[in-house]
Amino acid sequence: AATGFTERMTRRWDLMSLIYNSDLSPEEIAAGKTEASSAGAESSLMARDGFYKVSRSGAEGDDGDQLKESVDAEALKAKWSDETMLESLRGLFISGPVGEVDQE
Amino acid sequence: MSSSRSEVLRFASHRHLRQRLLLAILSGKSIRVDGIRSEDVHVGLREYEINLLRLLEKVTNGSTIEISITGTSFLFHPGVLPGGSFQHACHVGRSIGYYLEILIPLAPFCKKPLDVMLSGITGEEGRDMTVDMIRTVTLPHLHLFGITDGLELQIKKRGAAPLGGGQVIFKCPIVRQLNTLQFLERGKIKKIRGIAYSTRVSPQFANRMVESARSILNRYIPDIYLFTDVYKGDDSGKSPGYGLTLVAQSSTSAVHSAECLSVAPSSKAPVVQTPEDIALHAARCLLEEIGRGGCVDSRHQWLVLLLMVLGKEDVGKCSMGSLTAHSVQFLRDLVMFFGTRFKIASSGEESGEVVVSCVGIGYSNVNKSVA
Repeated sequence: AATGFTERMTRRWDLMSLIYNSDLSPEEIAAGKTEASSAGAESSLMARDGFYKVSRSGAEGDDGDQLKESVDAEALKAKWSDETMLESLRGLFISGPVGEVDQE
Repeated sequence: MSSSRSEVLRFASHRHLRQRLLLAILSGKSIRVDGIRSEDVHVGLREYEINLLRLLEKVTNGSTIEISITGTSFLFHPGVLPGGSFQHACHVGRSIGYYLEILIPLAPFCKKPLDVMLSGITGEEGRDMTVDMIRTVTLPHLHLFGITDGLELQIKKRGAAPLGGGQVIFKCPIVRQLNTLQFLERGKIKKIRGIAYSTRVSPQFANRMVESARSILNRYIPDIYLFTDVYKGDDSGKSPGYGLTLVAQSSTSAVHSAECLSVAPSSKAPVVQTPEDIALHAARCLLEEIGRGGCVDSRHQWLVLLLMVLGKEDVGKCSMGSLTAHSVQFLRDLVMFFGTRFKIASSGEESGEVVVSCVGIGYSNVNKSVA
């Protein structure tokens, strides 16, 4: 567990340097990438030159100034139809099962 | 603010346009944006973006905007914020949320309290927050920083996409300085609220959405109230539409939200969604958002980050779920305008949760006298 912890700490430290000191695009950082793939590096270079092309399917020239992210409805449905997934959130609610939660 | 006004920050592309305009006004720095859709078939600024620039011109005093002939670049010198009453007809290319998302963080720093009436589309699926989410989620996030009394968003009329016809009134008090945020305990979710709204469709649609959302959420907690809000006649705008906004509140008042709206059948998504589809999707999005963790809704990370930077010269801390791409770009832009870098540390849990902290720049509203 100790090594896991240090690994996570390094990963988070990396997050800071990725945000402030790297050329990775925000989308790549949010997706958890730590190194620029060749295409990714190119895309962020191009972004600086103003010729950014969104490569996601269905993306139009109007995208890029919005708070909401597009969600894959089918994938989401599959994920949240799974009973173990649904149960995994129970501890986050105040009425979580007695015995499992250590408080209240 | 201490930097010289002659300094012009340069940006490219239409992406992240609003946050740059917002930061320009707050920091008093001029910006120049080039290469706006220069490769697109339809070159240059869109009508809704021009409309946004007009709105900013309206609520500021002394701003100048020079747009190139092709519309692919513009230069913006920000003015000051006098506050007061305004009216604005928003372009139907984007919903009112698009415009409010930039107005809200400006409002507390006006000379006089701001009172704006906006008309247009009150909610649209996909890009911008609906007025319901702004009212029930964005405004509570402002409370964290001491912006409370007199803060309100009234939904006078609803107007679904594509024609709109809705009307809202946003009122915001002014503050001298923002409180320093210390928000590390996400708590446990104690209640879920929701609003099922509909215009120009059978009022039964709202009830069907409530039923379906409950089928997923009822298993977790008993304290679930989903209201139906059906607007009729002149108050229901020009287009049929319906949607559901869900808000989960924790024991420490951390708020997470999700929403889903109907899409007009003529637009690019050909699927006609039933009220049940909409509600189930919204409920699943809420679970996803809750699973993300943190004390702040993921679509409000940027707002909290901004208000932390503008806060008193003290260390503010906040726990957030994994940072969104939007937040990452916002962090980068904050460095350009205010020179503030956040410390970002893992909160030590398995999820992507992080604790962000920074020292505020002590931005103060000189127009508001000390109470």
